Amino acid sequence: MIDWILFYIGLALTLLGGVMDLIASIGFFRFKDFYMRLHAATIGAIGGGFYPLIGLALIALSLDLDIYIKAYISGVCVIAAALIALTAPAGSHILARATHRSGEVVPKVVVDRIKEDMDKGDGEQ
Amino acid sequence: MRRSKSFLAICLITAISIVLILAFLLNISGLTTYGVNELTGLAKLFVLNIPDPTKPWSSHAFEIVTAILWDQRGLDTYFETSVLFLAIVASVALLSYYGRRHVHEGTGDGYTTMIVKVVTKLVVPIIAVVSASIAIHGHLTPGGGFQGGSVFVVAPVLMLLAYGSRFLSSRGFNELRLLAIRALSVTLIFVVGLLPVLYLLTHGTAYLFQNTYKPDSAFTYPYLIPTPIGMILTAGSIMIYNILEFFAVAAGFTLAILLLTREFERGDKK
Repeated sequence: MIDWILFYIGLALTLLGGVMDLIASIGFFRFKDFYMRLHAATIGAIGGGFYPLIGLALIALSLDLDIYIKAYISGVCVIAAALIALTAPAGSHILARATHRSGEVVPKVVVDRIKEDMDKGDGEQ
Repeated sequence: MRRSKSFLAICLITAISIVLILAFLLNISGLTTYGVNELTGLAKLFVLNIPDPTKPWSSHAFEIVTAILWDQRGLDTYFETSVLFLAIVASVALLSYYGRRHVHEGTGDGYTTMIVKVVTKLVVPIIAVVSASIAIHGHLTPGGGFQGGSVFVVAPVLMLLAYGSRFLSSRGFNELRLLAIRALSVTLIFVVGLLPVLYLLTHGTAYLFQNTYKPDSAFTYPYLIPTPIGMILTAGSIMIYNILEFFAVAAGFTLAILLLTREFERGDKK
């Protein structure tokens, strides 16, 4: 019983990841701005990388295999998912910040707090 | 200029049809299933002999690519390592000429944030452990010394970008020490390869860069080491070469990237 529940939760997460990847790829081509495209890419990293790996870990736990094989596969999946969840936001954060500070792309926003701070001289931290 | 939608559609249809036609041609020509279950020629020689300990030309290693690199063509791989060593020495000679006059070491405060520093601090130990396991298991699983060393270099790159070059320099990663590790590792690789020749002077036949015993030579590195928890397979000299190559590649690339980062931090001001 618990195997079936785990299996279907894992399957749902994997399918959700596929849908997220599709949305991210459409957004990556349709959004106009660099920052909006970065947002779409992050959806692809977290939604399309993190969720399917957790789903695969659950599916591997639900299969009728030796406990060592199940623990190995799901452990690898969980570690990879944790690394993606840890590094992808930091990477996109520093990418957006560096782009803003270099002035390559001027964001089309109403309020720009980083620019205000940089004009005041606090942007150097 | 804004591209029209019909242009994009034509590009998409062309790309998909090229892929489909290529797949169809590959399938009807039989190239996709040609000899998938048979070994031919040289592959048969290597695959059947290297991992099998009962064969006379065995390397006692399960990872055939690494075994070929360090046993069957060990001298060639040694010279590849030497070429890389010379390239590192040349880049040090070019870059550290200016650096010695007035070393500018940044702290990275201008362009990183707390988020990046914390994540780097968490990820760097994981990278170091993974790279060491790739190198030490090089004779059992895909990988080896060069691959492990290349993975390790990601850790210093992250540290340099997040904390600046002063952070690494103050923790012992200075030029001379890295160059010494690099030179020592390359020398030790050659010494390990030269030991069979010293054996040859006193005992009869042996080969340069020989690993285990051969039909006409009794010289062998220990490939199965008994320990209290069981036998450990070290595949003779392959594990030694992998560990030494790991240190050589890691130190060499770290040195090159450290010097390049100093140049980058110095900026345009002379």
